[in-house]
Amino acid sequence: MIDYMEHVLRAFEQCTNWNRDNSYENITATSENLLHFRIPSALKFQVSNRSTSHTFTTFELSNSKIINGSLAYLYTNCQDIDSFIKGSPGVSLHTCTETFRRIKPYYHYHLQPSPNGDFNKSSLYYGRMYYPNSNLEAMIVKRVSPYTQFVLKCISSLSSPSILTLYWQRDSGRNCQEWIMSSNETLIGYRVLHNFIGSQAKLDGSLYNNSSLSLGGELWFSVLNTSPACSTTLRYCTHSANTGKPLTLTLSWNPLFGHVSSTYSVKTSSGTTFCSKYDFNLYSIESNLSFGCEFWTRGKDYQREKSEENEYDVPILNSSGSLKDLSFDSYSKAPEIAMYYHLSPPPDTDSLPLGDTNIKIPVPPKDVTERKPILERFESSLDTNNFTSVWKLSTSLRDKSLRVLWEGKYKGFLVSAGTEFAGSPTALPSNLVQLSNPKTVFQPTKIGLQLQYSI
Amino acid sequence: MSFRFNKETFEDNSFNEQIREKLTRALNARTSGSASPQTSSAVGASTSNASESEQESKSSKRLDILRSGITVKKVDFPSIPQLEILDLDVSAQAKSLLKGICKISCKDAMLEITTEIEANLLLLYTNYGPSFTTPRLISNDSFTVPITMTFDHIELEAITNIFVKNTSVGISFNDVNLDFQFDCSIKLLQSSIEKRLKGSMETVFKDVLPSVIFSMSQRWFTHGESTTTTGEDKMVGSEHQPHLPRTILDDSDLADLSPANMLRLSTLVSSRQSLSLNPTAMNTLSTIPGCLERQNLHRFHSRIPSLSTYYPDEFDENRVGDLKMMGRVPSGHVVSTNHYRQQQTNTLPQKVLENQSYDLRTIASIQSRIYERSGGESSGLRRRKIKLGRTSKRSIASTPIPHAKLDNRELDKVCLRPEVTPSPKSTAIHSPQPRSAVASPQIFGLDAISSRTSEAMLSNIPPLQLPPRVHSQAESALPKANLNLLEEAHYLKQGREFQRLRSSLYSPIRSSNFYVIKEKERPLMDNKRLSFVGLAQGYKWGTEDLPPPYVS
Repeated sequence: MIDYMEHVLRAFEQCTNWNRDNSYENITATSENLLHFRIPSALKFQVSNRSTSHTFTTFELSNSKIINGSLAYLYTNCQDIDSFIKGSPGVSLHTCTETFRRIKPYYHYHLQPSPNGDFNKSSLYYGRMYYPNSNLEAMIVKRVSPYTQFVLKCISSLSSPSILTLYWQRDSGRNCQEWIMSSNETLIGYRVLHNFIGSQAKLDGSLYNNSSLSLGGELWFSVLNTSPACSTTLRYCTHSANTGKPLTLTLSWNPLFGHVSSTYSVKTSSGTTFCSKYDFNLYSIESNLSFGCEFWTRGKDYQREKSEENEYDVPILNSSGSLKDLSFDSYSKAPEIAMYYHLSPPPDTDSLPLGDTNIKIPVPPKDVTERKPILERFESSLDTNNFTSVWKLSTSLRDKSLRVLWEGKYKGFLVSAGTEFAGSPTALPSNLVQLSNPKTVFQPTKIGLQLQYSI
Repeated sequence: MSFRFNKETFEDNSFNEQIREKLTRALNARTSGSASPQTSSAVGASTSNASESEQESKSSKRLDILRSGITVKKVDFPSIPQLEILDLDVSAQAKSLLKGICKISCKDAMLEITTEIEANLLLLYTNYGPSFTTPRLISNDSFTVPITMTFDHIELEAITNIFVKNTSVGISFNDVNLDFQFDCSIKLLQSSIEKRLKGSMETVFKDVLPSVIFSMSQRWFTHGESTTTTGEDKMVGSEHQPHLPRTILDDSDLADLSPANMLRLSTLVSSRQSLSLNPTAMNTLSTIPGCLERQNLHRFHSRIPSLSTYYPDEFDENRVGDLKMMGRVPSGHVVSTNHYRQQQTNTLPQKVLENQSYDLRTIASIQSRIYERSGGESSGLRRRKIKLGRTSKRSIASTPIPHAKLDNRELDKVCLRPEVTPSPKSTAIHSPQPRSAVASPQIFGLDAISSRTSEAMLSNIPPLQLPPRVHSQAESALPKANLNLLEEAHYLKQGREFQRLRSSLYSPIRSSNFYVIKEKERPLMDNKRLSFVGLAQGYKWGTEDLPPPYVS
């Protein structure tokens, strides 16, 4: 379950046309959401509200060992954030759970600057105070230019040293670069993500282009303990040609430690998602296989809320490029154009040789029009269904763990309850196995319940 | 003085195996809480300041780069460690029992341990840092690297001070020479680990080992609750004082100690408390032939039969003062002269004569014993000449002569070989050492023979009778007072055997605890009247007066 403040932050990003999925940090977000979802570790209760159209507050109580809580305030000067934020009784479950990320392909003509050009330098200020242990969290997010965003996060506490982390992100759509500096261990890092665009010639044979191929990398160096880290990842998102079901493949490689991991996530139906991940280490030949799945249950009254759902799901979908303020109708048309852009003449026709008269027919072929409804039906079934709860399960072979999470809406509350079963955390050497009394191999290591209410 | 380890323990491989198991267990007991200091401090110490400030987990976790338990692969002690006792001070202070300086040396030992560490330090950083400010890293999984550390040619030479007290053992390491060759499978870390190890060795010998031994010995000496719980979960220091390191030794270690050695040690300890070299035979002077402790000298003298010791009250106060002072005087010369002077006076005090409180039979038995002890060789029986013109008191002394002569004759028959035993050659008067014959087995044997053969002959010796004053104070010794001389010696021998048996039964290592036999409180004998040999046998020596300081 996404916290309310995180929800507001995402709404801010959508509102300011910042594509969250275009960052290298979230390149494996789908498999992370399906395999390593966060399980609450205590009883937690959160009440949030939108006091004005620009300020938001959250009050939280939890009992991890002692009763402690926090108070969070958020202010943003983003103009139309109101339309993105709903209280917990009316919010769609898809928007407030971490789930399969539907990545919209990057289309070439989106490189053009925003047609309306009214970029607001909106910013977000966030502060949180934990009151038994007097920790302070602060965050500032500032959109500097249409392509850049600046994020500052800091923690101040009495017990541990204060940490300041700075992000400078530049997302041009095709390339997303980030520079990060953290005062903890003086960590500095650089991330880059590049979206490939299939050239016309390559896509000639295919009729329907909704795939995206991204390649990214990161470099980290911790100055104080002189330890470097780096990784590179390839991501490929597409839809199944026959059924129109979205699937995502990633392949990550850490050249420093020889770690290779590949994930395959597929949304087999509108209510089920499966993910598998295979890890392999080239140096130590260690391997791991993880599975995760999601089962969504529908409410009975989805017909009644159909129009309402659509209204709020639109901004989530059109999170790419500069399609900023498209209504539902304009949205459904714009991707249609984009999907067949390789069939249409390139936008800069001047650069083409004059003799090239082999201009593709702008009208889509027949089989494209046949196939398109399959995909759109699937997409719309995701959005129109009124999902009320979701079961999440994940397991890992090497860790011998099983994680279960239930998230859902109950009487206006967003409830998230989960537990994690795990074997013995540390593998003892073989000569100690008989010394230590064999405990129960499978025992819950974490159990928690989170209640969230917001107006 | 030296100390030797049992060779057999080291000859087969069981010792190395045992050490290996103990080390493995001890090293892994700590891995759940914090990392082993050897490896974690070397690599991960610099990142340890990252702590959790997130709401869910406020408990500050410690970085743990250990990914598995620690295995001790190989332990080898090819040569027997040596423990040389340089100085042993059996001090007589009330609280401390023993002080000693030892030299411990151990050569050519070898130790090899293996574990797995986390090579991806940034993973530790991101795991333990607050998630709010920590950027997420992609494909940042753990990468464990096995590490093997070999300690070769370990040479240890240390000089230690050992204090044994009633409640505990304290050890301080004074001059530690530790040298080893260190070999790490990850060459990059070798120098830094080695540096840290050598630095931490100082604290090990200064703080860790003494405190461990101290707390462990406290548990032994009090030996109260340790029998109820098993040694596995009752590690000293982990319960009451969490900052103390866990003890590696447990109760099962004590089973390895030789029982004979522990018996000897406890005998030594209790002999210091009772001033007797045999702790269970309380009322004998010395059980070692030819050996007498100086502080017991005056007691020994007071046991030698003479008229003056039988009537000590009648002597003037100076004499008594001398008597008491004798044992305390450190100089040997003074003691000997005093002793000499006192022993010369085998005479009746004048007061006794004046009060007519003497008993003729008693005097006769004393005199006959003197003669008997002298062996009847060195000094012939002298007849006393009585002159009628002088006082009539001397004539009284002459009356037991026929008895004495008779005794002499008969004893000469019985004790045919006095030269076989070393003791009776010198007189009781001049050299007290052989007079330990009271407790000496040889003499006992001799006496036993004589008691068997000449029982009829000796039956006419008048039994000892106490003066009324003395008798009232020696109520407890009354049954033994009726024994005649030789029977009494026989009884003493039997008693000693019984006490030997008892000391072996109640060995100090009972229920595998160090068990100090507590001395019974004995009533203080305030005067020396009861120190007569025959009578004092059943009576106990006082222990309340502090023993004199030990003089080497």
